[in-house]
Amino acid sequence: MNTIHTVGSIIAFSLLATGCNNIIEYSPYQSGTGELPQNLNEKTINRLEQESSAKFKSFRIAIIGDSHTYYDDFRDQIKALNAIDSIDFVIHNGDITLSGIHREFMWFNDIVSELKYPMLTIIGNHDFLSNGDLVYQEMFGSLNFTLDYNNCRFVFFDDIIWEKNIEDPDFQWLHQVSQKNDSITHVCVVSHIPPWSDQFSMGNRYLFYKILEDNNVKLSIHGHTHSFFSGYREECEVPFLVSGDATDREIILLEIKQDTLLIDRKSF
Amino acid sequence: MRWIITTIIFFIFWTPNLKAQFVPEGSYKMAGFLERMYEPRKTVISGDTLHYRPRWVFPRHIKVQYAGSVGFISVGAGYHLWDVYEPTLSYGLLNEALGGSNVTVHTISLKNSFFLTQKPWFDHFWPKAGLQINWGNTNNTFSSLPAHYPEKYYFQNKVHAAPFWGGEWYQPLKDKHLTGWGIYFEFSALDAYLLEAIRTDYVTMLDVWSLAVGFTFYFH
Repeated sequence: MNTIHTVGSIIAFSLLATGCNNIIEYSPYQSGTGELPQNLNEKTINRLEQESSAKFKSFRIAIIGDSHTYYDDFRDQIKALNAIDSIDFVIHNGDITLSGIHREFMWFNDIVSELKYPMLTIIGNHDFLSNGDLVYQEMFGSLNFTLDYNNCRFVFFDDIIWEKNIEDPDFQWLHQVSQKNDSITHVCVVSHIPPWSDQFSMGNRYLFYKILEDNNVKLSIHGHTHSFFSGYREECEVPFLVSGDATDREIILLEIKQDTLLIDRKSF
Repeated sequence: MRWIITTIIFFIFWTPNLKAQFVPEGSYKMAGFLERMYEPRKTVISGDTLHYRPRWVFPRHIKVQYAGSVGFISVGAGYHLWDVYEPTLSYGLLNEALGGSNVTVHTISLKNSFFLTQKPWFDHFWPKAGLQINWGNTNNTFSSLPAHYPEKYYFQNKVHAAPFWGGEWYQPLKDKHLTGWGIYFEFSALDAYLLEAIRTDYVTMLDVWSLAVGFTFYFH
């Protein structure tokens, strides 16, 4: 081997070894190994609840979802969000990964670390694969949680079914936290899978609709279908809002007012 | 990380410049059980006489490896075939005690390693590359979809292919069991990561590698 090969090999190895990210990986399925931030949703909720007004005050949120591994579009989406003024927070409707593997969570975190607004995410079915549910809980916290902000309640509901080997979602919890007393202005439910999807049995679908209706939920927000939808389903009196995926290159803006919710779509 | 690089560079530059040799040197007396394995045997199967040597099936080497996407630690055994091919079957483990993961992952890996040069660099260093196939066993991994999913709902996520490159610093030994030992490093890239590096601008070729370091012990 000549000198050029020698020097080239050593330089290449050194650069690669020192320049690569995440170079020590025990398994793509690893969880809890400490490289990811922890309890992001819980930290965001604490921050938002501190900034929240005790009485209702109009506010605006942005809604995105199903970023999967569409990283280039997702990065543009984060830049587009940063270019919008006056968003109180961002909701990601789930499926932040494609295969639920550790490095996909790291890449997601790297991209959203550029976002200047607080973000809350709900788990998607893809995030549940390959120990992804454990990585997700390490990174974001509980799978079911609520946010009370400006006298509105947002109920984030884990409705993953098949990836839990056909386990019913915790409808009892959903009903309990969605109950609207007179002091709350609006209740919105956020879950990844819309209740009319194949994952829901007829009984589960009816129960989901019934809980939404009985608790006068103002809007039911979802992802999963990869296409935008806003309106009513025949079986339910509560309106639905479904976000598309990152390749749609749009952001949904939801203006929450005392007597109405206004939906706007902003392309980038 | 730094100590790994430092160790490898140290081995490359400071190990005595002895002649490396992968084939058994033959001059040093082998252990009795190894010598007996080299003796020809024959057996008759369905009227046909089969000549063989037990040494053919006894592994040529064992490997102990740290990291490389196949567990915190993995151990395996393999062969050296047709001068250039070195297959190794390994078992890797990641759990709370070994790697600090809150979930246990068992990985079976077939490392298909190929020698890239006919002679070692610096008389000792053998550049190698190849393809490893990893079977990962943990929660929610499957090679065929469970029955409750619609057909083709997910692509299988249990088996991953990972091309790798690296090399081994080989040192001959005068020992009745071993002909030599080596310390190696490998950079592997899982198929899922490579796909994203090809498909997106965000993931670059610097983001996909996973470093493994390990030791190989070669039997007579």
